[in-house]
Amino acid sequence: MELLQHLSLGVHVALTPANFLYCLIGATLGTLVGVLPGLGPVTTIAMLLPITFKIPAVSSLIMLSGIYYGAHHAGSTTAIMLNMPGEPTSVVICLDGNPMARQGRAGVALCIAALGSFFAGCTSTMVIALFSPPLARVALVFGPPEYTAIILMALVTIAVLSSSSLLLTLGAAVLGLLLGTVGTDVNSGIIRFSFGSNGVVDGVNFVAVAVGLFALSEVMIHMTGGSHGQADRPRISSLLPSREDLARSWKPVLRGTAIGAGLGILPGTGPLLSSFASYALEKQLAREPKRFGNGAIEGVAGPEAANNAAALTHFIPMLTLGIPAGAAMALMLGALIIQGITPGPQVMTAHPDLFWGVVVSMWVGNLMLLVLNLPLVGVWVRLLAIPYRLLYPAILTFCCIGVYSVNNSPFDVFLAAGFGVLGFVLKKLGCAPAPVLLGLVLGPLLEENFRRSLLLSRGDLGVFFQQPISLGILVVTALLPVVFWLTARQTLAQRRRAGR
Amino acid sequence: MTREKLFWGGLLFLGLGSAWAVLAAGYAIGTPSAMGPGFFPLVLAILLAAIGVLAIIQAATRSSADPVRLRPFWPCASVAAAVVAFGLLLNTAGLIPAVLALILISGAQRLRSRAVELGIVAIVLAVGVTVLFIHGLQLPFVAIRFGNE
Repeated sequence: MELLQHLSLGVHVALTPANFLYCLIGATLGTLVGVLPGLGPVTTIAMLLPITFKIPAVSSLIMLSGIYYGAHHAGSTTAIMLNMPGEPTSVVICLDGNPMARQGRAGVALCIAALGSFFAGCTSTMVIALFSPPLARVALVFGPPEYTAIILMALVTIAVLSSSSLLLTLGAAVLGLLLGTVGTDVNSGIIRFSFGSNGVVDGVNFVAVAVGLFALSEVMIHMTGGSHGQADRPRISSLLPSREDLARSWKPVLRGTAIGAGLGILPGTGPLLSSFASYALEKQLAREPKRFGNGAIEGVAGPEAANNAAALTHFIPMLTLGIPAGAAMALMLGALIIQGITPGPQVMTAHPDLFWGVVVSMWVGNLMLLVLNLPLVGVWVRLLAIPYRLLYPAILTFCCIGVYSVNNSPFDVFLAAGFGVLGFVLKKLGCAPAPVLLGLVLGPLLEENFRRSLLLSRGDLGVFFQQPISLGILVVTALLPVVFWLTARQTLAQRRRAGR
Repeated sequence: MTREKLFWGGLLFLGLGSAWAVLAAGYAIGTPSAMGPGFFPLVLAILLAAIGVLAIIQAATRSSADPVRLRPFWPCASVAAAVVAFGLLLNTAGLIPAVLALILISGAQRLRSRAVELGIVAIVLAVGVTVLFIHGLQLPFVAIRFGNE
């Protein structure tokens, strides 16, 4: 009963008063940023990262992950109430959640969403607890060729799964890898691409890159567009779903959880993809598909569970392999590195309190979210009345102070400004900036493993194809673009038919 | 994905990739079995330039023309300028002037129409972060630096 021992260790760590408090702070902050459009979990984590260096690694990871899943949890609240997705992942919730609200059933939609999320959260936490240890054990035998292959797969997957041009996102990932080569070369000690500046000897500061690419560019884009009009706020009459609502919802929640837990592990936009996949599935399975789009409870229950399940299993690659599956995970990985913890499969054995503490805190956090979200819905919705022109100065200030205080270096602040412009341009070109950040974090790891593989094989590229594991991963990597291209074409054709 | 976006994106990557390849070629390249510091960046830079070329070629095959709108460009310029000003002022003048500059420059567009509101936001934030970061979290900032201390 190794698992029980581990879980009891986790309970021990997660329920200390300090960690419980950090979990509460994280979940509350996450709910806040999930509700506010224009302020996402990545931005918030980047802003708060420097503050977390002062607290122990376990507590900081507990708080940061709370922000992450809290935001995914709360994004649906504004989608249901105001037809405004707080997070991209809750776009699908608008489709049926808002019609339900307009029919006076906002409370029921919110309640089902919260219960579905909670169920998905508990299940995914168990998935993490059950599957991470065996995965980490497998990963321990991985050599440089396997790691090279896995990193390549992560980068190709994120490019394939993003909604913009495959070529441009691949380019963004390569650009990120190149940025990762800036700084001291570990093998020769030569400082590369520094232009004589001392600011990048240890590599490009990824907090500056993240804040620039995500937070600053987001502020720029928001200032370009007009402000959101204040929509009518529907009233919440009754929170309690009827017996019929529950009967309609429980199967979609189960299916959504399964889809989310599976797709969340994939690098890239796992949570976003899974909520769309769940919605499509429920619509296909429904006896009267016409109800969808007009307030079908299944269209809220399934995607919301999928979204939340995926947000949690998104942690698995980061916790077990040391390979982040998305921008938020890359930031948390960076936080671990700065705290002096080498990410990888050994984290679970070397720092069991960290791993199991975080896993149990996820469950605790999901319970908090259930309690936070339902009674406080009115408060969260009222927060939307804050106009963006009052919100962005605070975002900018916290971003700048955060970037500066990583190394107490003004250079990093200038760097963030530069990456803000790059992020603005990339977004205008329809290219998501996440692959750049992922490339930056994975770049040094890829270079090290690539060089070591070829050193061991004496320059023979065949080394990547001789081992069964790395060969398998590379084959999957090559097939991914083909598979997704085919499915994308199918969905597009379906949507076109449905639109007519 | 429109023709224009692919074209300009491709050109951006081609330019960055070529420039980076030239820089990387300045370092020792080595052989695949014993790579020098320039090997990996050179391979990546060539890959980036190649992706840029492919995107430009793909752009030529597309028909939908939808110009890339960088305008209005002022939010991008004013936010970047404001952040740079913050970086310059923080060590020389202190946290309060840096925050004031950050907010006033980033909101430059609204200085005329909503000057009072912007001023109040700037002052409230400057005081707020001073209390929070210097007195609360004890970060090594100076609120205001007078002369050459």
